[in-house]
Amino acid sequence: MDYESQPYHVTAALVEWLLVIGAAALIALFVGGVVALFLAGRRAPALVFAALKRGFSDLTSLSVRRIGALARLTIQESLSRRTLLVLFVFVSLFAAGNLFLQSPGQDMPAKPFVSFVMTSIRWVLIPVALLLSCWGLPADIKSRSLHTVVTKPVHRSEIVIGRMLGYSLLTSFILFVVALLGLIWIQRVVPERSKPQLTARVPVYCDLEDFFFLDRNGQTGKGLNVGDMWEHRGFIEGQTKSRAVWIFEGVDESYLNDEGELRMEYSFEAFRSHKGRIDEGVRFRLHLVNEEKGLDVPYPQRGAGLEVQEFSGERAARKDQEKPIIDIPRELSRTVGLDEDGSKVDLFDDLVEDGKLRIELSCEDDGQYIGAANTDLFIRLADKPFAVGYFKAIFGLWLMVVLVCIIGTTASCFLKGPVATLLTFGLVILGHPMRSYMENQLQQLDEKGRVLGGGMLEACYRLVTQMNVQSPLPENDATRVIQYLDTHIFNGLKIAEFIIPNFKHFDMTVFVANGFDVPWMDAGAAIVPAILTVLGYLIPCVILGYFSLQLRELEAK
Amino acid sequence: MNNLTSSQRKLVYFVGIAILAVPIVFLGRPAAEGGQGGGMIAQSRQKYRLGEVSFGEVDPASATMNLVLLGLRGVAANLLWMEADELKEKKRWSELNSTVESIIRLQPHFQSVWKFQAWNLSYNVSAECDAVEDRYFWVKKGIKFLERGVARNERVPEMRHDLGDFYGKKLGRSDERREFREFFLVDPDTERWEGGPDTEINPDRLDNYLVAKQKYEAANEVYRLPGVEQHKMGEPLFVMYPYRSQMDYASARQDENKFGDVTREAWAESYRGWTQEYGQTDFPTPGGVIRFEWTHDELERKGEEEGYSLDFKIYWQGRYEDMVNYRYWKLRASVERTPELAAARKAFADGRVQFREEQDMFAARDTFYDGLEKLQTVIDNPEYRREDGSSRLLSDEADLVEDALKAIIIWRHILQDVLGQPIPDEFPMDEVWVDPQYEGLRASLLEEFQRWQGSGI
Repeated sequence: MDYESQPYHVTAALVEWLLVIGAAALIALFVGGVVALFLAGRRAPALVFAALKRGFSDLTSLSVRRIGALARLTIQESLSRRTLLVLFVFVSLFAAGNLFLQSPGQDMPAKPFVSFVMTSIRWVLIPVALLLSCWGLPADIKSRSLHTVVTKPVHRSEIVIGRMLGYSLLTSFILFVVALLGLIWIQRVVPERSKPQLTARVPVYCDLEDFFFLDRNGQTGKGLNVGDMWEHRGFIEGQTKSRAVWIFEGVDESYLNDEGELRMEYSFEAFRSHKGRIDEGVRFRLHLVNEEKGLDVPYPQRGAGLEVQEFSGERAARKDQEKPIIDIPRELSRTVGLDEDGSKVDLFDDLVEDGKLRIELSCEDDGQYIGAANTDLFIRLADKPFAVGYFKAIFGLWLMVVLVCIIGTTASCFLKGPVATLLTFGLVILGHPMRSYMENQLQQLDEKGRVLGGGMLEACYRLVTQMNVQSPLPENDATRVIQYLDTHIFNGLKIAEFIIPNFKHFDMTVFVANGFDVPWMDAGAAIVPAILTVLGYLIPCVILGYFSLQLRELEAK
Repeated sequence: MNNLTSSQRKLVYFVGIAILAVPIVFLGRPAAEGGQGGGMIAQSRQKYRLGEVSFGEVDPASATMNLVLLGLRGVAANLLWMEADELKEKKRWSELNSTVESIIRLQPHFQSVWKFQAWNLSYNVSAECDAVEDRYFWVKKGIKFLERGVARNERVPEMRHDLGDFYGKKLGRSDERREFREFFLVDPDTERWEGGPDTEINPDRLDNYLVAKQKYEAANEVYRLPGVEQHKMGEPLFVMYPYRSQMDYASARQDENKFGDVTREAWAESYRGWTQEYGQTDFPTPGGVIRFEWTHDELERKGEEEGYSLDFKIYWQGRYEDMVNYRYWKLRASVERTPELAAARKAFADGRVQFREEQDMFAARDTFYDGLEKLQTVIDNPEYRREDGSSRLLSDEADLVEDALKAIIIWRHILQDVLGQPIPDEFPMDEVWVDPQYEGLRASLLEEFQRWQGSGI
């Protein structure tokens, strides 16, 4: 699984959120003040103050009953537009699923089936949520049915919240039905031999900063690159002091399985610089190290080491195939090199120090290499049922759909249907498929001071002149102007990065498809960051929607 | 127009649509069963064999996908290709497999897609795996993928030829050929294939080279259909492959120390196919039609019909023979089918086992000597001697010379160094040992032997 476990810092996220919200509020206040100044002259401060006061009152004195009624109205309205017909789209998709997953046979792993369900749900439900939320209010304004509502004693903030709630409930219902259908479909179509892959493994990873390499001289260094474009894994050289090191924190006896062993799982990769024994895998050994006590206990303790079992999730397992699992017993023999000296060491008493367990990986074959990343070795706790991971991932999707409804409803408060759709769709695209690209660009800018191929204007220039991204631009004033402007465009992109929602937090497919439980806390996709992201947008969106609807001329069609 | 009411405008649109639909319907009338009749477009499609049916097996899902995507098929295909590249880079093989499936839904008749992605699975993905069983799994995936491509593109001989390459070269010539050839008969996934081969690629339980031969033969059959072309290689080379596969089969058996009648029969079949089928195939050349087995008289007669001189015809026959090394392979198949050479090769293989594994030096000495005697008999056969008395086998068959030298080196080592016996002045195949032209080869083989004490040769 190509995934890097990184910690998510809630406090830092909250501080960042407050700063962004504060800055946005100040800008809004300033713009509002200037507009009021132009329109009302000296009365502007009083008008702005009155609007803020009314807004505060409307936003804090909400009626659950009225919001519920508005949500019900929204649902009824959507149902009258035959929204539930979208369920037939899913039924057709699942029925046709095998067409996209040809040659299922018994060799097919579970992963593509799970990915297919999650991807289908995501890409069909997003447009539904988008269209519902973006077109509802503008259609009501156009048909003047909103007049009937605003003449009733309801706050406009309640209209906004009611709409958001209504759309969210409706899409939640669809999602729930579809998720059940998807689960049944997965259970039916995944080949019998791949069914064991439908599980929810609970991994304990070491933090990214606690994973490092030792070079061939035993000094801290970098993992070798064996020619892969993708630098996810670093490689260690066989029969040298080169090692990959993981330090797991918080290790205690609760991590032991029912047999009293510490179960570890790996996904190392082997690379051969010579053929060696073709009928045997490249071998490795784990070393349980306590530097303070000078202990280095190898595992396995005898023999030539373990053969690397690569890419175990990429196909159905053969009957005789070994699994990439290592069960380390609590009691191990003390060794000098690979020779036992007769005494025993205890995993927790002797090797774990302050809850930290240091594990080093060595390659046992001369001239061969083994590649590893920080998530390639983990402590595997007791597995959970597949449904647990699946529904957690569905919960993540649900949060994403809710966020789309929130943004769509907010956009529809100040824009007409087509424009609101375009804006929301743009945010979804920028927040998910394009997010990595945007982050990559900004990371290049931070690290190297420039982006390969330049910014927007430089890229345009290169496109028109058919110049590749490596060639230097001609040294003249035009180039300097282009680069100057591009720098400011990138500054704009940096601000946009804070405003555009990070939809990556919601996409938990990678876990469930690979047979892992969805983590609660991680800088990537995880439950807590996903919830916080939705809450983080809900509050400003309600405020923005409320003021927009307050100021909007409802008579305009 | 602006004065028209809404209903009137709609009526005008409807009439316009109806008028435009008439020629579309007329031109695009579908053909009747068998491709007959129909509108002009259907007839043109039939004439230039551009219809879906004329390519091969129709994939309804593919046609549906194209309709659903309207004009965005190209965009979707591009995105999928990019995704496939990324998945390959990140070694997510199962998802790569699914993405490749989606690509062929969009581009079912683009032969490069089939070839590129089949190659990707069989050669690139398999090479990434460490376990030889996993490598074989991905080689099979690529082969199965290409098989489906062939079914959808029946009139593309190159794809069938590529399939032959996968069965023959990938399974038979890679570093893991020993294991792959075994797996082709007994799949490592014994649970699924019950101790037999994967019947999706080897339903008749044949050797991989014989399956390759079938695929190459099928490629030749398609190539001979009217209006079909191939742009992979020169015609004599393209057509040659079934016969070379037969020789590869026989040769591979020898490499695996199988020297019985089956191997000799395989060589006999190789010789028959090479001389009686391939050698009797017409090849158009700038010097008119030639056949490799035509005598000068036959060439002269054909030259008179075509208006070419005999010398010109001989020149082109020779040039084409050189292109495919025709004479060498004819000689090789001819000599390999003889019982004497088979016996000599068997003696060398047995001698190595006695020397290296059984350590029975007396038996090894006698076995090597026996093998050299048998080889000498073959060399002395007048059929393989030129008019000046020189041996055609020794001058053309470098492998044979090398085998003889290796056997002499081990035999001499046993006699001199192990048993302490004198080496006789004359011994079978000594003409090779003393020939100065093989001095360099002899020295390098000796060095190799000293380094590994027989394990390397």
